[in-house]
Amino acid sequence: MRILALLLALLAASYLGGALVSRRGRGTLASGAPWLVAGAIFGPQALGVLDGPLVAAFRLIAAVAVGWMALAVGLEFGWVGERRVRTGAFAAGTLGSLACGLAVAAAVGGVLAWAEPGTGFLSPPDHLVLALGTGAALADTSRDLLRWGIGVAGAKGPLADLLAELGDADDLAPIALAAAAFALAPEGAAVLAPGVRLAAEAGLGLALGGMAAALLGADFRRNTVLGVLFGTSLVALGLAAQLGLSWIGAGFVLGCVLSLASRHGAELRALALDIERPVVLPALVLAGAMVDPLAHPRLVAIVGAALAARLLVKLVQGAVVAAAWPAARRGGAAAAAALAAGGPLGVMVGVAFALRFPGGVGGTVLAAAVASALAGELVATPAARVALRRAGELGDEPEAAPAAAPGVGA
Amino acid sequence: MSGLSRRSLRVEALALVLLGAVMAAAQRVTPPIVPGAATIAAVGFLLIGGTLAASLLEVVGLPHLTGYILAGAVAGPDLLGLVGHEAVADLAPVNALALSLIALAGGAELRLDGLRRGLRSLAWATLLHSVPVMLLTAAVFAAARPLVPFLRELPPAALAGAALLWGVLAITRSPGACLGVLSQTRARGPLASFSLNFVMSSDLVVVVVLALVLTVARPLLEPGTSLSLDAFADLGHELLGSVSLGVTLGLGLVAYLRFVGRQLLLVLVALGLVLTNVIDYLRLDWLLIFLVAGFVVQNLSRQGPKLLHAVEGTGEVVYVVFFATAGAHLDLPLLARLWPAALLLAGARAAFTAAAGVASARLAGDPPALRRWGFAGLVSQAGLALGIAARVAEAFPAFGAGFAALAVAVVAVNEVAGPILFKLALDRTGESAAAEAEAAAPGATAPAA
Repeated sequence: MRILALLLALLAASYLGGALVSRRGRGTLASGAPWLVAGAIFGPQALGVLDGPLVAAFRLIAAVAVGWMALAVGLEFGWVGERRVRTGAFAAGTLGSLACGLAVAAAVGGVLAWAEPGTGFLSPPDHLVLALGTGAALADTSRDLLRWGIGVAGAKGPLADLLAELGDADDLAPIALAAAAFALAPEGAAVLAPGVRLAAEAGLGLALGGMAAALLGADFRRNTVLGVLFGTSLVALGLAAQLGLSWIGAGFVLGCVLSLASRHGAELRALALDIERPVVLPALVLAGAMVDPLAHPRLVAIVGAALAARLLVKLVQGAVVAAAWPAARRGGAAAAAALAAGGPLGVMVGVAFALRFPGGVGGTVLAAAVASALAGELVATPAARVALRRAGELGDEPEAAPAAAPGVGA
Repeated sequence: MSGLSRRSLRVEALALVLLGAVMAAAQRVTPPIVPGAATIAAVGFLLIGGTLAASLLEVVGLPHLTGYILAGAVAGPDLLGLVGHEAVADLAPVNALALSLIALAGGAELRLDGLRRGLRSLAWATLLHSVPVMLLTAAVFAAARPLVPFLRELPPAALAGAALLWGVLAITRSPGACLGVLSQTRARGPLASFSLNFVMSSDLVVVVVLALVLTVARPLLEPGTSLSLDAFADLGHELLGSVSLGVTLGLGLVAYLRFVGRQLLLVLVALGLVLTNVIDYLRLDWLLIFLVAGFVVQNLSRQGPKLLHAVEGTGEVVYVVFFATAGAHLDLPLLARLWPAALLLAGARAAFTAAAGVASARLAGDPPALRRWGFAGLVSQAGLALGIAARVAEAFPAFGAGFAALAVAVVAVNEVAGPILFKLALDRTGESAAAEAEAAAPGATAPAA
């Protein structure tokens, strides 16, 4: 009873803390950092208020959040609000996040090979899964930081648009890398071959997306929409988990298909954003609580190498973007650093790995994802503010903006 | 849904069948690699299946709740097996969350001025729907002895005690079913107000009557034990504790709504998940706690509409989850074994409820719509009845298992028939939005009542 009462206090405190930080305009919750930190502090590794069995009991909530996040990311993929992402920004975002994910995977593989002499580079299957998983969790630039730039601070202009487009266009790489990691996991090999698993994942997403589009075309009332969206995202996740497929791939494909095939795409994207916060925030607390610094003997080295690789590639990506877009040049080096923002998608990838591969592999991927989100909050948020101010798109220090709520999906 | 075309209906029916086939195929391909995967898929299937079944049944005038229950029963362990026993058990916390949101909305729907206006009706109805219905149903239960194996073994005194307990079970109602039908039909009028006020306040009455009957029935069921007032000590703890906690929670919500007011759904979900667990430890009545909290927010502050808006924001998802899971939970083989007794007891309860409704409406001078249909919203039963049955099973192991099994069978009948009857009544009295629209159409005839 004490534990649960304290959990209630924890949720209330983390929310109120977040609301206060946002109102003072001195920081953002773009990565969901306060919820992650609160979860870590109250989790089994620190105060122990949220103990292991309790975290396990709420596993379903974390799974629902992963499923919803995958669907929402698919629905919004290639869109900024009601505007399609420009082709150049789409290519830059996608290639940049793919390069980042692969670089992170290579760095993790290097650390593992160094730590265990005699094993080849990424040759043991669990090394490959761990490296690809960490790459997936650290590949993207958070959509939410950039929404903060536009929403809370009221930034408007070419740089803000570009940053938003890059953030919304770069979600394919983490999904693809996670799918590859799940497909190569040895545990599921007896059920379906890796290639079949990838095909089955896409097929599942396509079938459920087509079905959802047909159903919502027939009846688009809020009751039906919520039932169909939640239902299909959970069926996608549940069946994927049952068959050893990626937990987020099928949901992502489902969202993409729905966005393309449904004539209600705009309403669905708005609804997905609206629901994202209540679903994902509790999962972020659980994610923080699930972090185990002892999950892997080389965890610190792996996470350190992964973060360094990520920052390096993001800076290079920023330089390339600056060369191609004059708007990015006006933000200076800070615009490149802003691309290092981590966020809820990465953390949800980490949660999916932690649930699917409990122990060293899942624990390390989750720890890296959480570390990346927190580091992004420290580095990328101020950098984005500086870049936007330099570009003359931010103006004076913002007032509190009630419409743009703090946190995930804002 | 009456506006849906035949093509749309075909699409929905086809989607339902295809999804069921995919789920069944996946189950046969492999056992789940990850524990809990089946539960996640089961929740998803219940959401889609319940939503689509409700759409399809709406065409023939049946309420959404019937669709949800039907989808759950068909997908459940006893028929298609798409939702297994383990998944049904895993869904208990989600179910509790859904019911807590339903109770919160129920409390917030109760308005003091409405209660004051309908006080005379409510008082007569509470008296007649409680005492005579309880005693008459108890008599039928005792008379049904030849149909019920476990009753045949009881001596007369114990039979009387068991019958009294059955009488208490018979006067329980389902707040979830009442709110679910009202939410779907958006009904406004005397019948809707009366049903809501009565069903919500009856939870309190049942708790008191149960304590009283337990006190009287124990010496009958367990010869040698003397009359003990222990049940009243428990009752005091439960009632005072629940009301106190409910008021505190309500005031907390008022403060939150007044000073923060954002992310309300997130806060409600956290409250629902956490408090339903905390309250179980405290042995308090969490349905009552959430009812009181909603009531406090609505009547002691100006924040009621905000609260209701937040809960309504979930659409019918909470109802789908709750009633589809209830459908999956139905023990169909048991119902098949006990159906003669279950039908008799459910029929007798409905008949006595209808008679009490007519009598109380006459005595209170209620409008004709209430005289004729006032009982319709009181037939549904769900979690509260099952909770009492479980409590009886725990307290009286000698016959409790059989008692609980029969209760499950009777509740199954009422769970299915009750919402259909209530929706029919709201349509006939012209209180549902659909009936109102029909009445407003050119050339429409007046409602039946």
